[in-house]
Amino acid sequence: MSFLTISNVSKSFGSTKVLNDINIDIAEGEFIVLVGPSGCGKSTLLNTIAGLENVTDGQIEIAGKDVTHTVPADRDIAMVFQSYALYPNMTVEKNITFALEMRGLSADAQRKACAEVAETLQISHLLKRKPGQLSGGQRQRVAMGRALVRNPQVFLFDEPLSNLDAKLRVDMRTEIKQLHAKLGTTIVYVTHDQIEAMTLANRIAVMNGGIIQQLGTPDDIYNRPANLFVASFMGSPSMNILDVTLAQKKSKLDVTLAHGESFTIEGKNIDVNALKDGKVKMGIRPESILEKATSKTKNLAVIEQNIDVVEPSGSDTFVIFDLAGTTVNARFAGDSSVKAGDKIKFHFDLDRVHFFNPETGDRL
Amino acid sequence: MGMSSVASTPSSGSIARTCLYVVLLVFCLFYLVPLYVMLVNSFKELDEIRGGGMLNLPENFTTAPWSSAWSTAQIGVQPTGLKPYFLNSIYMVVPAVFLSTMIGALNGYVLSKWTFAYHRLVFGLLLFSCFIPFQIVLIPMARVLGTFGIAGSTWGLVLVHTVYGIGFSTLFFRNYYEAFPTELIKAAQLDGAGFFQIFRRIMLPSSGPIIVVCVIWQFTNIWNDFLFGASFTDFDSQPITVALNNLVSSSTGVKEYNVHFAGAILAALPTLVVYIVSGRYFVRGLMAGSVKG
Repeated sequence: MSFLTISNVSKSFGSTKVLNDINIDIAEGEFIVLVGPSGCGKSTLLNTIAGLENVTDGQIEIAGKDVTHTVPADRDIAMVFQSYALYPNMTVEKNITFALEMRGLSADAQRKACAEVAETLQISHLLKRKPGQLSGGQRQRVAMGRALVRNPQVFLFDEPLSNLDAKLRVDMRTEIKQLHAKLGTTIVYVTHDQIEAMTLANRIAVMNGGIIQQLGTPDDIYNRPANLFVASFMGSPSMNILDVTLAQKKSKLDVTLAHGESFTIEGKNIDVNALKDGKVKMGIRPESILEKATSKTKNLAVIEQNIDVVEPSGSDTFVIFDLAGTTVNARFAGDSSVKAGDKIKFHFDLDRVHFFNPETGDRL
Repeated sequence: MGMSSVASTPSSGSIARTCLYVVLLVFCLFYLVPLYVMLVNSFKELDEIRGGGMLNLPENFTTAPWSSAWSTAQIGVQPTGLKPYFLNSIYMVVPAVFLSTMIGALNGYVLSKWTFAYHRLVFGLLLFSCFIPFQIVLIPMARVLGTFGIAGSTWGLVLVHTVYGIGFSTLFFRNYYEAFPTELIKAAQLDGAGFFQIFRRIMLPSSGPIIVVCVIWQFTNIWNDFLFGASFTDFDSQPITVALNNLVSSSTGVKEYNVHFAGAILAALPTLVVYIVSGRYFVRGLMAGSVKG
C-alpha cells in the first residue's frame, strides 16, 4: 500500500524540463534515497513533495490525500535543509518550538515536546544558545530536532550531511539510520553521495536529467544496474567500462576485447542479433578484477598487463592499468604487495560483468 | 626576510604617512572651522561679534542667544523661538521615517523572496523614483495633498516624505534581503508561518544593520528637507528648516548673529545625534547591504 505516491510529476522552468514524468510509490515507513549528480532534479523533486515548488504536471498523494495543490504547512511534512536553515535570531529552543507555536500549541506543551526531542538528540544543554554559537554538528542536530518535534507523516532530508566533516558525517549517518529504525517514519532523503545512498536506503532512486534512471534496492542498483549511467554513477571507484564484441554460440558467449584477446562465458545468453556487429559496452567493478583466482569463480579471464599506478588506501589497494587504451581500476586486498611497473596477471570475474547497449545505454 | 624588508624602508613609508595625515588634517579643519565659528559666536554677546574677531573665544560667555533661539526669537510674526517648529519636525520625521522604513522592508522582502513576473521591472521603477528631482513633483503633489485634504498639515508632509523615501528604503532592503538565505523562508513556510509572520519573526529581527542605515538616511533627508516643508505647510505646521530660514530673514532692526548661529546648531543637532549614536552601524550596514554573501 503506497503511502506517498508521486504520479507522472513533471516540472518545467520556462522551456527547461527539470523533472520528466516521475513515478514513485513509497510505502509507509520506507527510507527512500534520491541520488544523482548536481542538476539532476533530485532537490526539485524533494521541493515539490514539500510543496515549496509547484508541479507543472502530475499528482502527489500523502496518506491517501491529494496534496498536489496543498500549501507546505498543511502537508504534515518536515524538512531538514543542507544549510540547516536555523533561524539566527532565535534560541535553539525557540527554533525547535517555532512550528508548534505556529500551530497554536500551549507554551507548556511546546516546552514538553522540545525537552523530549532534545533528550533524544542529546542537545538539552544547548537549548538556551543561539545557532551562531553552535558547531556544525550541533546545528545539524538542532535542525533534526526541529523536524522531529512536529512528529510529521514524512521527513524530507535535503543533503543534510554534506556540510559536515568526514568523520562526523559517518557518525550522523549511523544516527539517522538508528532514528529511522526507532521512529519508523517515512523518509525521503536527497544526496549526491552514493555511499550515503547505499547505506541508508530501503530503496534508491537514481536520477539524471530529470528522469529516474532506476528505482530499486541498494542491491539491485549496485549489482544489476539498469543502464550505463547507473552503473558508472554508483560505486567508488566507479565501474570500468570496456568496449567489447560479443558472439553467441549456443549457450556460450564469446567476448572479444578491443585489443583482440577473447574469452568465453558459459551459460550466458544475450540476443546479439539486435546489436550492430555485436559491439557492446562491458562493465566490470574494480572488486571483480582479482589478484588471485579463487575456487568460487567459474568463468575467469586472465589478462596480463603492466601496472601503471598503485594506490594503497589501507583497507584496499587500488591498481590502475591500461587495457587497449582504457584505464582500468582493480581493487586488491590491502596487504597486496604489487608495485607500479610489475607485469602481473589480472583475473576478470566474468560472472560479475555487465553488458550494455552502446546506443541506448540499457542493460542487456 | 620580512623583518629586514620592513626595516629597510622605514623613512619613505613614514614620510608618505605623515604627508597623508597632514592632508587629512587640513581637510578636517576645513570642514570643522564653520562649526567652530558657529559654536563660539553663539556664546558671544552681539557687541562682541560686531567688534570682529570671528575666530576668538567668547570674552563674556553667555547662553542668552541659545534660550532666545529656542523660545523667544521672532519667527515670522510670532516671538515663539524655534521650539514649536522643532516639535513639528519631530512629529513629521518620526512617522515618516518609520513608515518609509517599514514599507521599504516589506517591498524588499517581496522583491527578493516572493518574486513574481516582472518583479525586476517593478524594482527598476522604484529605483527610478530615487532620481526624480523634488521640484518636478511639487505641483502634482500639491494636487494630491489637496484632494486628500491634508495640504498644509504635518500629516501631508509625512505622506510626501514617506512616498519619496520608499525608493531608497526599498533599494536598501532588497539588496540586503537578496543575500538572506532563502532556505530560512522555506523552513518557516514548512513550520507553518505565513507571509507576515515570516516577515515579522524571521526577517525583521535579522535586519538590524540595514534598518539603522535606512533610518539614518531617511532621518537626515527628511529632517533637512526645506523645499517640501516650505511648499506644503502652514505657519503652524512648518518644520524647523523653514523656521530657521524665517528666523534668519525676519528683521526687527538688528541681525542677531549669535541667535542665528545657535538656531542653526539647534536645527542640525538631531541628525548629528543620530549619526553619533549609530554611526558605526551605518558603515557596517552599508557594507552588509552592498557586498553580497
